[in-house]
Amino acid sequence: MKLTALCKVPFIRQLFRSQTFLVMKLTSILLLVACLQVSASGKAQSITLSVRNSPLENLFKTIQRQTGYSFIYTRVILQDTKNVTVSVKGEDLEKVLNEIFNGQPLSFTIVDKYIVIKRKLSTIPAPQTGGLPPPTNEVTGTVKSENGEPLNGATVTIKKLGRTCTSNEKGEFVLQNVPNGNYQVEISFVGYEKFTSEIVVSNNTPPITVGLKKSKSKLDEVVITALGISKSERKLGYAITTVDGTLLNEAKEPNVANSLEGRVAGLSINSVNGGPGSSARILIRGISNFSSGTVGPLIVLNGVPMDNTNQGAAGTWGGSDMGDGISSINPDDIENVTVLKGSTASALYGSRASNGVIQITTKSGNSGRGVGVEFSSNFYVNQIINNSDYQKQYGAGQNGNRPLSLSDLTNDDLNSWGQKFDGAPSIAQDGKMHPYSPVSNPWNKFYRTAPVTTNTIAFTHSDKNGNLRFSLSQTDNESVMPNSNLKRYSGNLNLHQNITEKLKLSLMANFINENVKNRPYLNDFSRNANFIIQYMPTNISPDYLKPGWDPLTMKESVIDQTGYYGNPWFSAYKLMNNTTRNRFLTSTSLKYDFTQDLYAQARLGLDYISDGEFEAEPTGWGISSQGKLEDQMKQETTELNIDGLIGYNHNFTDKISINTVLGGNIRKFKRERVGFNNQNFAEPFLYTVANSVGLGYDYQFSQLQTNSAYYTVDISRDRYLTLSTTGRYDVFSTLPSGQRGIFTPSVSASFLFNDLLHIPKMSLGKLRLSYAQTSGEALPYHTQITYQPLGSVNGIPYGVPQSFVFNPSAIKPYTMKEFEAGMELKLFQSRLGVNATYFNRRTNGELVSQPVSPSSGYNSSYFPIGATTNKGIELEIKGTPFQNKGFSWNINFNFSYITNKLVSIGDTGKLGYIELDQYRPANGGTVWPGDGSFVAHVQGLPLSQLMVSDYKHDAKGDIIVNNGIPIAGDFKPAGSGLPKIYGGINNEFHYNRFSLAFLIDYRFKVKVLSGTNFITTYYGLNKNTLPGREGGILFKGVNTDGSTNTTTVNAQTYYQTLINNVSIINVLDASFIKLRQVSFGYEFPFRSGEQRNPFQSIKVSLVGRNLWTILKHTPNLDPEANYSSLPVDAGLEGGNLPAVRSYGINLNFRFK
Amino acid sequence: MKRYITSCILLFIITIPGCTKDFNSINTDPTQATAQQFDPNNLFAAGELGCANVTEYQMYNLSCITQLLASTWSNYSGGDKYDNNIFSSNDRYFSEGYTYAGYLTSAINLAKQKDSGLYNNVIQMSRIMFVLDLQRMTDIYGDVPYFQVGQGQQGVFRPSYDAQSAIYYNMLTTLDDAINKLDPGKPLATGDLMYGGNIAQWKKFGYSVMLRVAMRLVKADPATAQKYAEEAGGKTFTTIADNAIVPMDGLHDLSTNKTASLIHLIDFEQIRWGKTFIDYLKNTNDPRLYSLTEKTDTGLAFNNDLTHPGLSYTIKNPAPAGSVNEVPIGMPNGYLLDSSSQSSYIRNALNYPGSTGTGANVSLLGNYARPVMKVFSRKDLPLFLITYAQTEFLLAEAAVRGWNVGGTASGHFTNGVGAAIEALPQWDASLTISQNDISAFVNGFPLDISSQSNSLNQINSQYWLTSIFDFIEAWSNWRRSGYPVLTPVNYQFNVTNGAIPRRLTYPSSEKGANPQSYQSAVQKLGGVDLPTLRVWWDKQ
Repeated sequence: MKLTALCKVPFIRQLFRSQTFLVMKLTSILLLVACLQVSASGKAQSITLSVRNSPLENLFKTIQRQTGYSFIYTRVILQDTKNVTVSVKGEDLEKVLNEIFNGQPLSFTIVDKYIVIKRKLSTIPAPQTGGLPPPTNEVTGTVKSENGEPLNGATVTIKKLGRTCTSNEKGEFVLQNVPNGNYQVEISFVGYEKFTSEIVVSNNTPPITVGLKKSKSKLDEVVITALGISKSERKLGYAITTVDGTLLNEAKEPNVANSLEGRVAGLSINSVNGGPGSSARILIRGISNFSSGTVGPLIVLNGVPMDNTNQGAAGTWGGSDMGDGISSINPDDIENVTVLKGSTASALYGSRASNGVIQITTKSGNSGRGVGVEFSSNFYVNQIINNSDYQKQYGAGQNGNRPLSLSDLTNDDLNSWGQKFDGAPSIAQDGKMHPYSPVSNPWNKFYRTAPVTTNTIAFTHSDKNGNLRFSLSQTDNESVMPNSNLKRYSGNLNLHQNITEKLKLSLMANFINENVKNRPYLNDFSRNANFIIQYMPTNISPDYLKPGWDPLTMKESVIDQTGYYGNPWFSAYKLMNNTTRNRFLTSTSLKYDFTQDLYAQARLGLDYISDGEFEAEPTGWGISSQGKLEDQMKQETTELNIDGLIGYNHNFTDKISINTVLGGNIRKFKRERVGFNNQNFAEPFLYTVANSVGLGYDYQFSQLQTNSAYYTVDISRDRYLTLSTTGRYDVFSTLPSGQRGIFTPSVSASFLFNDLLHIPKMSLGKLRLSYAQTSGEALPYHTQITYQPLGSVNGIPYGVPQSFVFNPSAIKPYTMKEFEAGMELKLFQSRLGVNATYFNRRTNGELVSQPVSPSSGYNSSYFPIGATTNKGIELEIKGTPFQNKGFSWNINFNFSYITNKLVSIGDTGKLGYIELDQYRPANGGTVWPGDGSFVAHVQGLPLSQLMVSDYKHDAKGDIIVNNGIPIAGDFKPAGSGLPKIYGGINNEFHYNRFSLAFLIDYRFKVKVLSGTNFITTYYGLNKNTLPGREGGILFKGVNTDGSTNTTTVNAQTYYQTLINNVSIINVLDASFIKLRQVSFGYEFPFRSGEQRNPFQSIKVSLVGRNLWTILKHTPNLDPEANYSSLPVDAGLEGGNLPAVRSYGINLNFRFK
Repeated sequence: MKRYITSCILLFIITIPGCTKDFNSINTDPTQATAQQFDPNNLFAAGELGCANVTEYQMYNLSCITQLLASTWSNYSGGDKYDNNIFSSNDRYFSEGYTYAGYLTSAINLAKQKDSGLYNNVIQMSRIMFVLDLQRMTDIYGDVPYFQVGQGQQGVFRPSYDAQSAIYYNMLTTLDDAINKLDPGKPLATGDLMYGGNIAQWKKFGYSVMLRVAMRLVKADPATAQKYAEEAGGKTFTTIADNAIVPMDGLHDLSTNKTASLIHLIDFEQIRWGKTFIDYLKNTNDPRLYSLTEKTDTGLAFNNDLTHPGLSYTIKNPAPAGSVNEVPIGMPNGYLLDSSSQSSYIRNALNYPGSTGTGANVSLLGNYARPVMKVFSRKDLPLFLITYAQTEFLLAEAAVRGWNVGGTASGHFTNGVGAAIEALPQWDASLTISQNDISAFVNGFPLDISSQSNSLNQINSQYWLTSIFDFIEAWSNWRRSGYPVLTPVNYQFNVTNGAIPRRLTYPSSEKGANPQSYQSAVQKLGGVDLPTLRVWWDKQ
């Protein structure tokens, strides 16, 4: 394989041939580039020992204490070993072990932090028996992992005989001289589930081939915590959750964040119905910081923070979702995802991580020896889910009349206030006569069944000096929206190399090329095909609107008088809204072990993103027939992180050990954007910048730097108590000189009571407590007043002051304090695990940008709001209700309950609430005049309240009407668009080579302000608008003077005015229970001896996502529907893409 | 060696937080200018551009309230039909008007910060322009922020609302003071787009503003009105060359004509000259009847195509190509294009002239006259802040009231009528009316001095005519004078009990951005904020 050349040791060895060169290299890296960071744990452990005639087992304990390495063995194999006398000082672990095992019938292997002791092959003597010995035979076989890699050092035991052996490098084992008969064989390997089976030993006993499953309940799991520091999970004083990568790549979501939904307690994901490449709203423990764009958690890829900026979302006036940072990660490359939920867990990342951290670790080539090739292919199709249940009695038209001419049709635009369906031929937009009756499945005549393919090929290589994994991936994701798709190519290289025994290099390089064609427009009606298709009268088929333009003039065939109601076919096929992204994400680290206790690490992380966008309307566009360049832009984003750290671990006595890290970090962020737009194109059909009338440009530049130093200290006593503290001091370029530093400390404790109390059947009982204080980030360019030059008119230059004004009381970013307590239990041999957490966080002085009166001369300023709290409970229960030799059933349940409150509104000058985004359908706009509704943070209530107008009641409680129609009452908060209760249940069944898993997730106590409900009511599509179609509506209410209403109003006037006046009607309960994902897999058996087939394993799985909405309360829409991932739009819906269901097949081939 | 590496890394870690040497420059936005780099003249120029161009919503509401224009489109229905839409765009005047006022206060602040002597003329001109802008704000809403305007930098984010009377008195003294402080001995304001900083022109302009402010008070405080009108008399504009014209280039937001540019389909498709406007021109044989109007070519497709030229009206028979031998017909206000309400359906309007085109290509409004689109869709159409015609009409009224402003009422009136027509080419050369036609009309149209009310009617009707596309002024002067007499529309869903709105309700954005001030202002209105209430100077 050519690839091996890449990691050939001699090359790198040569590079670092001499120690002097190495020192030069290191110092130049550290001093001149000051970028690589240093760290380690490492194999090179040294030992100081002096014992005389000691039993092996005692020696093991001493070594374990000194090195932290654990010995894995079964006592039986120590049967006939000799006592040892040894005296060494600062000697290397491996050397010492060699000495100890010299002449013993044992061998050892070091796997991670474990020393696995095994019996040398075929050295167990056959038991002596009297008389004629019974006929004996060999029991042979191979032990592999479930992925087909041979496991070296697995223990094979026949208990009945007290016989044991271990497997060799190829995974093969031999038990000689086994008397014929029936036996129970046990095969075990550290980190894997034990395998037990009945065998019959006779003259022709076939070889046993066993694929061991990775253990899901490791007792002492090592987890990656903040800054990539690995720690024993039992020592953690805070909650974290790790999600295995296989759960994310089996049924692929275009944005991998969406796959986390329902899997982690405390983590809420809200995907956007915006087509492939859309962003996701990721909230950990509710919403604690909402002022800046970085509301979500910090995303860290292999220890390096990556940019997750939302590149644009649909707002009050429409737009499209431009994706975020995490959406471009290939799920096939992910080894696992660790969610650091609390402030203590993320404290080492400083202010940026105040909303938690999602750490993604990519796969490495660690898993096998030699060269490996793996190919995965994933194919699935997306189909829309039509949640609409519209009235099918009345068709297009107004006031009970059907359109009789094309001009009537454009006048009536989307109105379904026509006649009762009678099937009689009626004019349609194509100028032909069609039956005046409902069309079946109209949405399917527009939206497509969209195929998605993902192929990933990965090469791995490993040897004793390191490993590498290189993968190439290609995704072709068609959208259900016609003429829209995403194509992505990505490559990922992961390299770990031991340059010397003490110096270790890690390199991760990830490059992505992503092109999205025609990101669909959402929410507002203009340019938005979804809006027209979903809210058209039911007797209009999308086919009648084809082709969407005049083939001769190319002029759009608009469906209303203004042109603002674009023809959906024109919107889909003629509007241009394309994005490209090239991204280079890399992390390089060097780690050097000075001694067994002391290491240093230097790391350089670079996330470079080049974004491009082309958004234009063509010649013939209804609103402006000359077309228009909206934006043609290039944007570069660079996030550079340089850090260095020194770690020191030491066991002072038998009982006290300490782990410390001291580090520093420099972060430089820069974003530069250049864009062009025009008022219209000069020449038709030519969409270039040069062909512009009224060419405009847009240039943006933003940069910041943060310098930080941090420490972490863990002190453990015995195994049962660990106290930890961390602190980070950040110095921000964005803060005014002299006030730039912010310190964020944390303390935590973990107490293992099962070790003290020895509770039966309990393998782990842990109490956790932690407290942390953190702080938000300040905004760039808020320390001096500036002016913006705008150009000149008639040669006279002009310019304007900045539109925001400084508020001296809003210079410091917010502070957040969090207390967390939790308990973890593992019971019944880890078949039941419970992890419960309570947290309580309080944010003070959150800075919110709020409009100020324009009469101040400015538009907005930042204000510190008083305080918000987030309290909640997170519960994770893992269980294995059934487990026998062939069949197992695992359940993973998680539950989050989060109450969130704006305690005080502080010095914002606001009367009770802070207004966020408006809701267009009732925005007092010109198409639907209304009193407006919006999202607001209301004092005393959970954040993101939906503010709507209620009915107006008189003193007696009767509803007041005007001209027979209820009038608007006061605005009131009608619930939050963010869920209070959410979680999921994942079930996994394994039966031999079959596996079945399904995920159910749920969300409760959440509301949606439904644009769909508004629009379908306004246009008479909603079933609620049927009463009173014939004869009008006499509403039971009172007039302002107290008299009973006697005015009967025709249905169209009534419902259109009502829905404008009383927007609370549009607030729906968005709770749901969904069958989110089902996967069914089978792994083909291959025997290692079959030379002719090239496969190590083939795994096939059938997957489906969003298969069934088990419970919902939202007529006509998906309860999760939304058009923006921004929290200011939480709970708003309408005009987005329909929900999508997908089915597919996933194939995974591993080659020999 | 080990020690060396260790100390290096330790040094790195420890020195990191201290290395903040570049932080000030990192946190300086390179796309913006600092105070040191910026000239107050640039802010003043932006203020001028803005003040000339206070919002396209003039068209959506005020063009139709004044019955100069009429539209069947819902965007315009607040002004055309006094429906709910009257509330929906009420914050645009406020947000734009005050933003531009903010440019001017910024110009003043920066000038004072740099050198108040050197920039004296920028400061004084900004003050005059500020008064012109703020008069519009208070005329539209009533009590509004004034004394604390533009003090955001001083920490005033939510200015209080001041009584209109106090605002008016202060505007007059401010004008007095600013005009007196204009100093030809100091450097000229290079940011002036109207007069190139010419002090004499600015004094005329300042007094013309003063006359406008003063005349608004003829009912509320006639003595003050008289005092300042007499002060301004003789010092205002003397020729159409004095007209305060702000040039536009149609290239950027601030320099694109928004108030007279009927560029969007929703504008030109359904907007027509109002019946009141056309009938008035007809009744007076005004030559502008044929100069400002055109007819759309037959059918809906041409009606909706801005690039397709309209047909000009002519009395020549047979009409030359591109013209029709017809008399323009104005569209009545209060009608709709669809039949959802029979009484408001345009086909049912009195004397409906019928549609043009056939089949799907029917244009229901095709026989009503519309503004000449090749002019009134120009994004670079210049904007008039105050014209010689307007000041002459105000002087004519002052003279009619017997005040000593120099000249005679008839003289000022005739000057005004002539100046209004002669100034049309300042908009667009294609609007030019021959000197013969102007003279013939002016000579045949003297001031009716049979009674004071007849005089006032005629003067203010002409003021209204000449204020097309300066709809705020047309509306305010109509409210003040009561002329021309407009017949209100009675639309089924009106929210004013069929009365023409006399103010706009406070901007809803102020509810959130300035709640205390907003609420106390509403309290002063009696707790209910209605478009039918009258502002202080708008006495019965």
